[in-house]
Amino acid sequence: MKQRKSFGYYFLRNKNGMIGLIGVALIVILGVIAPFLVAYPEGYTADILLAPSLSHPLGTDKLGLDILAEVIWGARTSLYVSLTAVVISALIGIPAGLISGFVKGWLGEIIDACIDIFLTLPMLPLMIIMAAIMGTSINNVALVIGLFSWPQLARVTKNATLKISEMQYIEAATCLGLSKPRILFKHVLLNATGPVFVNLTLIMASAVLSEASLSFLGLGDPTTWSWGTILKRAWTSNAVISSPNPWWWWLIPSLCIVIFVVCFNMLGTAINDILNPKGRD
Amino acid sequence: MSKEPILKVSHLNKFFKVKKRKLIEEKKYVHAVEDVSFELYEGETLGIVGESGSGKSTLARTILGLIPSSGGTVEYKGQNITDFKVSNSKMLRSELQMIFQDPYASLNPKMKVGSAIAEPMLINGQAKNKEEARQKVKELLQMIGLQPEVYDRYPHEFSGGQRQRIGIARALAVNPKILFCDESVSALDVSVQAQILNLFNDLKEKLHLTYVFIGHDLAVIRYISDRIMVMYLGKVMEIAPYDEIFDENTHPYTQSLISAILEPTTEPNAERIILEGDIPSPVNPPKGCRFCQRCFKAQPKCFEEEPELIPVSADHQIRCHFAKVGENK
Amino acid sequence: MSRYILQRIGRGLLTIFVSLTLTFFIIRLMPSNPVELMIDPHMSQETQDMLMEKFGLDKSFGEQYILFLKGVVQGDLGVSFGSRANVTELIAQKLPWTLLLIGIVLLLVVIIGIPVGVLAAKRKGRLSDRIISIVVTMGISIFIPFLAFLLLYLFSFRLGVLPTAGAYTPPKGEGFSYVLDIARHAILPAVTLSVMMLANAVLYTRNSMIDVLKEDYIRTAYSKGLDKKRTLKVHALKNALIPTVTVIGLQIGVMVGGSVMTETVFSWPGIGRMIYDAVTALDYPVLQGGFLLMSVSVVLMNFLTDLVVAWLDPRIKLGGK
Repeated sequence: MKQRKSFGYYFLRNKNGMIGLIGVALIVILGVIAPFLVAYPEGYTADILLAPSLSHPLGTDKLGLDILAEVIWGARTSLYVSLTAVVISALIGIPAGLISGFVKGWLGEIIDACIDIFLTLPMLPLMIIMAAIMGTSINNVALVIGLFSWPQLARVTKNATLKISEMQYIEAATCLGLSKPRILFKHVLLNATGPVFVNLTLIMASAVLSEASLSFLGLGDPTTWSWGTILKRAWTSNAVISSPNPWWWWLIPSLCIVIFVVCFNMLGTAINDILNPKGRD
Repeated sequence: MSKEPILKVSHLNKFFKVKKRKLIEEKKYVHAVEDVSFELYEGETLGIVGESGSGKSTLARTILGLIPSSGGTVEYKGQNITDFKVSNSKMLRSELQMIFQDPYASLNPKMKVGSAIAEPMLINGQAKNKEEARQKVKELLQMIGLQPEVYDRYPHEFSGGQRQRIGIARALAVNPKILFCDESVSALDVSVQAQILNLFNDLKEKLHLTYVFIGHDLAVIRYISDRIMVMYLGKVMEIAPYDEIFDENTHPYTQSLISAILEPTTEPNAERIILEGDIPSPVNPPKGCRFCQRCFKAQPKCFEEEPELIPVSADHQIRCHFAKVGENK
Repeated sequence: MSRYILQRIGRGLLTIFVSLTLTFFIIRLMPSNPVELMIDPHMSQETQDMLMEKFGLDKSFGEQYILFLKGVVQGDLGVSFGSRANVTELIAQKLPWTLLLIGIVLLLVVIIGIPVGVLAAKRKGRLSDRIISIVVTMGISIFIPFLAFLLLYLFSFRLGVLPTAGAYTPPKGEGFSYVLDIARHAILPAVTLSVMMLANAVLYTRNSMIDVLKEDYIRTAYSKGLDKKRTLKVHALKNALIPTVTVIGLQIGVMVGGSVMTETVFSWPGIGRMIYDAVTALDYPVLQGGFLLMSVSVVLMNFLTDLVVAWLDPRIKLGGK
């Protein structure tokens, strides 16, 4: 009997993948235990625009609130929004991709055209319009991002489905009398998990960017801390170009966003490399 | 043979549309299967032989409703089952099963062997619950010569021959009556081929199966077949009982296939017929006889007029202008 | 004309139609219909009626939609809620500024992105390739406000060499000094907006160049005695550029979104900033018009890149898919 080295074997040896995984894990832990770490930053204090020090490791903002606390609570928001968005886009994108890749005829054609059209439309402006109209609550933001993040996933799922449905085991399943939905949502999907999962991590990353962008434009939830909200406040207070410069105020949340995105992208790329035998050399 | 056929295929056609490239272009079709008729009797093994591109796999897939037909009918036990557009299709579907060519591609790599075999049983009602299915799968695995312990293994852990046995077990899971074996041993090593062929023969005895055995290698086909059907460019060129396929009075194409069989002999094989060129494009088949461009017997008539299937004896038909009627027997 | 090009044109028109319909219905189907919010119950009945009529609110939903489509075809995008200015005129006024930015970005992609990608491919695995790869990875996942802040902090605040906002120093100058002034203002926004596109261009050029260099026909060209530079230029680059051009086409939608962020941070007087201002003022006709313009330009650019790909790829020229 043949032996094949497992996914875990390659993953543990993939440096980028491990860095990404550790980064992602840290952010998740931070977000989950935020309420036990620091109090929710509210109101105002007299410690206005203090540079990083022992009592305020990442300094304070114009209202005298601790940036570290804001950033930790922001991680929670970013995680919540991006996870919800990923779930919503998976619920739309995966079935759309499966059906358009498997079903010939008008249904497949229509879904295919939808995927193509939504891939070309500029998504951020569309999200901006929708978020502006729906009103700024954290759930609305997550919903808007999820509703417009699925086309890429659908495309990836469709391409995988096209390849898989040519395989003989799919024909065999038809021959054995299994129903089309069963073949599609069990046999095809099982084999498409690799590319689908990779794409989900990428959606996660871009959802955080979208959330930060919307919050930065003032379309985030004003009652919840998110990295974009902190930046928005810093920007409207001219923090970047005012002297003396409160660099911690605009730099720290920006770095958080970049680290989150880079970690998820690294994780996704690593999984992709491992599933793609070319990357094993 | 006066018996009623278990499967009757009449004038079955399968055309594939050729994708248009320009805006205004004539519609073109690939004539993959054209006007194929034959009967299959219970308990026999019909071999279908031909080069790749002759339409034999497409024929099997069209009969099994895996691809829609473009014309003609398929009757199973007297009932029209063309494309399986019938009310009791679920039950009928399980009675006609297929063993695929590539044992590496025909098993779902993400499913355990046991659940892959059990799934169709549970769906089609051969087993009522998971426990019963598990029991039946283990019996099946034993019957096809594998340990019941392989139940929880994944396909990639097995060799080609073992995988092909698993594929057979999966097809048998739904109690089929007719098995279509599409090049089912050609991907295997010669020694393994023989084992699997013997397994087919054993199963036929035990389970009273009827086989349609498809292949490009006449040496393999004749080992297992009672009757042999020769296909070329989507058309039936000859249907002959096993005994008559090696006679003088056969189709020139059949003769060339036979001469290609390697025999263990010390004599130099001077009479070997070597076909020139490739099989022509099925989009524009030749005007006359399908085989005319490569036939060593071809006469001007063959390029002009397409021959009919001529019955030369009770159950021997040849599609050739030069077939001698009534000489066999 | 080949089937391929006709198909592309049809798809493009359909995309524009979908974006029109989408914005119309998003704006009008929401529970808090913004157009109706405009009409304050405290207004006099006369004013209310006048406004209703002005925005076509007295008509049925379907009629409003038809009117809207008719208007769009005639180039009438309605009137801004805030300034009561004609949206088409407003856009015409803002568009050149955004086109300027996008033009600079595409220029940078051609004169920097593609050569750097080729260089990285030629030096695959060496230090320069690795450095390029790291920079590219960061560039692809860049958060535009962050990059903008960094650039502003460095060049405007610390060094004080570049302006912080706007497209020119008022009052509007004339002649060469005016052009120079705009150029100075355009540097930071253009760099900010181009980073993501540049990173993608470098990445795809590098990867496809590496693949192409492995192909048989390149080896044949070498063995025919063609010198290395010529081989690279003539044979490899044309094929290697197919994925690059395709990805540029796909990224244009993302870049247009990025222009909203960039122009917002730098107060650049283009379409992106217009959209931001419209969001804060809840000025829906302007939002709708801005989005429509973005969709149309994305569709046009996509069509252009399709044509370039068809020109680069002989297989498509034959009309195949």
